[in-house]
Amino acid sequence: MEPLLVVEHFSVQYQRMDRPAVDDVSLSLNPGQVLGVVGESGCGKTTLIKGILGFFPHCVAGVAGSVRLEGKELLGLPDKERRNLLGTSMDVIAQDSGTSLNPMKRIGKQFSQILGEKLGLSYQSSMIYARELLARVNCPKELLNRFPFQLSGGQRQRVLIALAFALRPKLLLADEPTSALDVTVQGQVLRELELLRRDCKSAILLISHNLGAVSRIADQVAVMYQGQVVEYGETHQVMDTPSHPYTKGLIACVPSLSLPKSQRLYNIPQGGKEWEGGCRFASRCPERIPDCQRQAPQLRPGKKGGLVACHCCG
Amino acid sequence: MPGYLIKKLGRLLLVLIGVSLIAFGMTHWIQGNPAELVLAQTGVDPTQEEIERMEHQLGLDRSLPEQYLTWIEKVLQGDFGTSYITGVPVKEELAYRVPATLKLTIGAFLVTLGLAVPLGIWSAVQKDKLPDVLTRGAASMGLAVPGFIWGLLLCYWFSVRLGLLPMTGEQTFARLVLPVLTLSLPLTSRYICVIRGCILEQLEEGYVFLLRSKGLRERTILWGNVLKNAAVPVVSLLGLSLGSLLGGSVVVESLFSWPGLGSYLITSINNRDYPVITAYVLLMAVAFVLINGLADLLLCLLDPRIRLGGGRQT
Repeated sequence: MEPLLVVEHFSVQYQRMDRPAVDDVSLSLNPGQVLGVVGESGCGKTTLIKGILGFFPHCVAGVAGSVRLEGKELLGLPDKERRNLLGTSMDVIAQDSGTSLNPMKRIGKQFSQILGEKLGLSYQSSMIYARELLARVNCPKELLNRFPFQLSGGQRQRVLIALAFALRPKLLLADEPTSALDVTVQGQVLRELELLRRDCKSAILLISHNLGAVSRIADQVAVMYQGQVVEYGETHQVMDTPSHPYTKGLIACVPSLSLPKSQRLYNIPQGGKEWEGGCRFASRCPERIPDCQRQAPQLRPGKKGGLVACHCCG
Repeated sequence: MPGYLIKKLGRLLLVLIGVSLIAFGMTHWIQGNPAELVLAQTGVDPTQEEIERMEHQLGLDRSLPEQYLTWIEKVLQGDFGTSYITGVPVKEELAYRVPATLKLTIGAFLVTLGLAVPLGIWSAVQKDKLPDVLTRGAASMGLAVPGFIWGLLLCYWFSVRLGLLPMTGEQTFARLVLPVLTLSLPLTSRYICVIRGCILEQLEEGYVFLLRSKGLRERTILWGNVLKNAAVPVVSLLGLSLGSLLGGSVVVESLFSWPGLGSYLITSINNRDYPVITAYVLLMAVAFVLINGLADLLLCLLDPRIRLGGGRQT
């Protein structure tokens, strides 16, 4: 079976940057699956999402590779065809729920505008549908009469999730959907994402730096470092038995209840100098060997299953 | 919303009282002894006796607060006193000149809106393309060249060279065209830039990204969302500009010998005709206050964040 989303050797280069923001990334996602993409800030996660959507800002100097949704090449697709795919075939939940809703429009109006244009619903029927959608994400229907600034952060995020699932997209790109929320609300929002995934059978590309969130709902995990995928595999395998030193570092950074209180958290050392070739992580890597700075490691099957890009632990 | 408006109205009332105090002070502290001035005007020899008699007649021998109160009482009844020079009540002169200035100002305001709104929108939509570059170039020129130079150039082309429009004579529509154009050119140029900037700023907002990612047409995004939001800062600026239009008409009226308030003011300043100057200052203050009150009301209707008193204000 052809996967729903195939990203192959995808690169995005910004102007005046010495390396691509997304560098030769290959991923695939089957219908109904959740793929978590983790990595630190600036590793290219958001650029990857915008690239899949086809939103390239003016400062993009070059794009290479292939992005296919249900076998259809998305790169270079005319705007009109892309518009037809957006919303219904793929949709996104943006990072910042605070600005993602029009501040001057009632929530109900925002629903009816989108439902009206994409599904051809009348105002009345779109309100009925919107009420149902809000109920599914545990929001009172009164929200429809409110303005975004009258909602809490968690409510706004739920409204965005409801809006995303309103069009039942086959692929949902979720860019840090929980990072702006309180920890207690994060859990609820994740539950709602998962519930809706089951309802709509949508595949989710979940971008997050929250390893807990990713390990909870993702089937597979890709770890990105400076624009490249350095480890890629089943969630339990990557989380429980990480191969790449960067993945190990990320997991060791997460505080655990079983650790003695006096023990300090692991700190991934900062890199000393600019990257000059070879493995991007080499200057920060506790396990580096001379080869690392000479030659860039390729992503290849590791000993523990999955794919890993490392000279010494593959 | 009522609370907000009452607060605003109260503030505007304070502004009016302040301005009236300044105007009152101006007549009493800057001009020297009005009694002597009036005597000089009527040709009576200003002996000590005559001065005291005139001071009593004008009420200048009473205390300042008393004088202010009688003066303000008269002003509220529309009595601005008599011109020192012509001996005609200021009220009568105003009745003739205010409509002339209003014609000019309102005409220029409508022309500004009629040109700047479509051009600003077009320029923003076509950002960095030929229409935008041309519009922006023209706007820069309109801004860089002072209004009275435009006036002279327009006179030269349309009246002297082409003989299409009259420069002097009756207050006909054709006679109004050149002064209105002169008055509105710099303002139009500025508003093209302002409107373009406000729209482009809105297009960067998160909600536009959301609507685009749902695959909505750019038309819906622009006309159904962005324009209303971009109107908020534009309306508050327009309130201020309409006031400065009234002031800006001084130069244009002199240039085109248009019998409005502005040219009246210039003559009066040259003659130190204080009752007229005071009346002008008061009238302008009232106009400013009214226009800004109106702009506030409009903003209130437009922006729910102001109306409902919450959220981040733009």
